[in-house]
Amino acid sequence: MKKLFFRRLVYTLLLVCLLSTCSPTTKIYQGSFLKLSAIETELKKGVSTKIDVQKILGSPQGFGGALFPVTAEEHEIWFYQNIDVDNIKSQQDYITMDMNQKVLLIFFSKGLFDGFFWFTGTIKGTGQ
Amino acid sequence: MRIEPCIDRTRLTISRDIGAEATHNLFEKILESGLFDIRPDGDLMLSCDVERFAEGSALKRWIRPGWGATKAKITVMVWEQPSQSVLAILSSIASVEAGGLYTIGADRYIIGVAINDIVNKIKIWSHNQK
Repeated sequence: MKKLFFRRLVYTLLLVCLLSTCSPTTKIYQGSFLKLSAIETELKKGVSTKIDVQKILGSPQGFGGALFPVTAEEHEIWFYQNIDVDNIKSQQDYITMDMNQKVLLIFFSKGLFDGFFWFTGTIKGTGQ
Repeated sequence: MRIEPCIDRTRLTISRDIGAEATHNLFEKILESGLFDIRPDGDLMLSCDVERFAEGSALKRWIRPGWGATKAKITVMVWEQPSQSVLAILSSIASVEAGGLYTIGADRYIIGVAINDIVNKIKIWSHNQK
């Protein structure tokens, strides 16, 4: 009887231990650029190269080109996006979460860093 | 070809140096492939970012497939030097999402799997350039 109790206790403790390591992750990161603040301090317009940008921000998720009417000069653009999801909660048959999206565009002119543009938005998402 | 060290951009605080692991794998797989010689003054350069990594758990996968997935996402850029032209951007996501306890240790080889896929893509890209 004592042996059976001990065995059950061990199994219960083992189960609790396993379940405690199985708690869902509450933060999800998508995207790789980390040092948004470093753009102004570490990148120099007309001097910094694409490799300098890659070292600070990582590989772009997209790239292309654009013509801005005010400059009439073709710019190459690298596109970065980060989406952070936090505070995920499951309630009955729906899930709520806080989402923060950052979009960053890096402009190059003749292969050199020529400026950047970023915006961010935080929304509360709900899914069923 | 010159290979720059892989940068860990995962924002994870773990004891492993996954940037170094990815760099080591990239060196080995490129050498094994016989595609390029690795030289510090190569005309081609590879930069490498570890963008996502999740160690996962074989136990969780055993309980429910998809839970506790082991994942790695790596992106490699191929540059022409000295012009710094970007010739290709190649990404790979490797994951182990299902399986029992026999998938223990997936976190140790998942980076190698992603790098292997990247090197295969470099092979195809290189072949298409000829």
